[in-house]
Amino acid sequence: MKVRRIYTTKESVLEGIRESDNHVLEYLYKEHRNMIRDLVFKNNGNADNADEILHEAIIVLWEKAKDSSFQLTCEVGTFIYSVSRNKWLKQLKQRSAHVEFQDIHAERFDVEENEEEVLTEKQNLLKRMFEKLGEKCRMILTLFYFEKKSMEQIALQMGYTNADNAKNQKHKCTKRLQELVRNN
Amino acid sequence: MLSEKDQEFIDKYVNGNLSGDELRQAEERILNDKEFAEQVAFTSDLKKVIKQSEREELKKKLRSISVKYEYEDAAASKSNRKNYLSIAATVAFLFIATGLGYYLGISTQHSELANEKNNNLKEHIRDSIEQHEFDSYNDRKGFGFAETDSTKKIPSKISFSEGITKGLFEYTIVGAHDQRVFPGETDADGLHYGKCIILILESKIDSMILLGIECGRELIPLDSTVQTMIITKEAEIPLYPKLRAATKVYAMCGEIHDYAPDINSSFKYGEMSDTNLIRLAKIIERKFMQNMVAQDAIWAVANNASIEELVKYGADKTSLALTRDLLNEGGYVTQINPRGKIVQPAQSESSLLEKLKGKIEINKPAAYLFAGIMLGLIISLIILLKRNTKKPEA
Repeated sequence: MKVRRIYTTKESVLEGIRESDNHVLEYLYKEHRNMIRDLVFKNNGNADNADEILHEAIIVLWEKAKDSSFQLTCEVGTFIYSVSRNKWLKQLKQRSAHVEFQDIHAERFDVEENEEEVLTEKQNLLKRMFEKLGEKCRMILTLFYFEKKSMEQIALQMGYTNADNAKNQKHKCTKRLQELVRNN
Repeated sequence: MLSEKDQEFIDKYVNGNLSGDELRQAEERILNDKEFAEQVAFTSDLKKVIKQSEREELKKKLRSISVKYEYEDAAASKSNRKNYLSIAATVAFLFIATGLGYYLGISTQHSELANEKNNNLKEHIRDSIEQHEFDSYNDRKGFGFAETDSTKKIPSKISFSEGITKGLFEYTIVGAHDQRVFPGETDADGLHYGKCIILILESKIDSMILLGIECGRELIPLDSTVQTMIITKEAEIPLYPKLRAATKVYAMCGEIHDYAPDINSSFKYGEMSDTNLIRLAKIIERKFMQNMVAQDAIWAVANNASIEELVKYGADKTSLALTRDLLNEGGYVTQINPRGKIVQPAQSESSLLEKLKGKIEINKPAAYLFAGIMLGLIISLIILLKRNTKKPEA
């Protein structure tokens, strides 16, 4: 029998993310909320800024952790702090040329950040069509391209009898998406 | 035309899983094979698009978490204010009461009466202090769960079935519908679906735990003529040490021909349902469709229910169309949506609806006739009464 994970170690957090457990999102938010508020309040920001920055930092961690080769060499808190700090500093610099920044933690970790991707018109059309696809298709494509799950894992998770069936289904979904794009 | 093998090759390339010869081969094909290059562009666009929509989904979830905590912050600060007020009131009361007691003590020169009064007052004060402490304990307990930030204590989370095997609590599961309160209720909200199941839990341990109940879990009736239920919304229930508490959870019926659950039907916590139903339950959870439309979809999938059967239990053209949409979205093929696509209402359904309509129209003239007869009767009654009252005068 499985016990719901208690997020005490960074391994458990990463595993939670890989399993797309919604509880890990709440844990990450709750655990770092006060720290990021302290940081942003000390540096000319308000609660909304703090929340936005923290959300983005959690998303960075989420996307990185989805890659199974990703290794977190520092604590989760240090990672979240470093990403949030960099993001807020960047925003402040955009506001004015001269910024006096006050850190609240000395420990930091260098993170190469995911670039904010702006979609082209063609990609936006693709996105709209993707959202028109059925639940099942969206799920299978997301599991494959975003979560990078193998066909065996996808078959197991979505209740297909074997990997070939899942593969077929994915193929059909891709074709359907291409059709939708062509007709619009 | 590209084969499925080509697509697999492209997927590997886009996911960065090629190296050496294979990578060179892919790059060469991109330069020389237009169709291949287009498919690579499409696939990498798709990857980007999925990432973006996942990102938006995450942002939505995080925003709702933020809102929840803001709300709890506000609730906590309100309760603090209430605490300050009650502390101030207690202090003021103590002050006045001590003064009064002192005054009474002096003025009646140690008379027995005064002593008794004084004691009464002291008791009263002690009671009120205890009451205050109890209140603030309650407040702390109520919001302590929300304020795990400050205490850094996270209650351990345990699945319901794990809790049962470890004997951490005793439980009773019954239907929420009570015939004594709403006799003859036929509206199914709270009967077949919605928060139609009550859980009564009694903690046997000294620490607080969170019990997790999964979406898609089955509840097995002790009386086999009652429907098996399926949980349609994940629940997390705090269980306070040594306390008994009841809560309601979202569930739906899984067997169309059996009885709906009520307060007299008990259930046992069962296994997870089959994957097909779990998936449907999760879609229902995500869309928060705790209604008849989704209940009909469950019956269509679990019992292969026909349109006639669903109509008998209250479905109509609009609700059937929505049920069909839901089934199509989940990729289910049932009697309700035989081709797994959005289809025009089946012959049987439209003729059934026609029949229903016909019945209502036949009733109309009968109603007019009935009203006419009644009117005639009333008029003749009035005339008779008038005659009767005139006679004594004459």
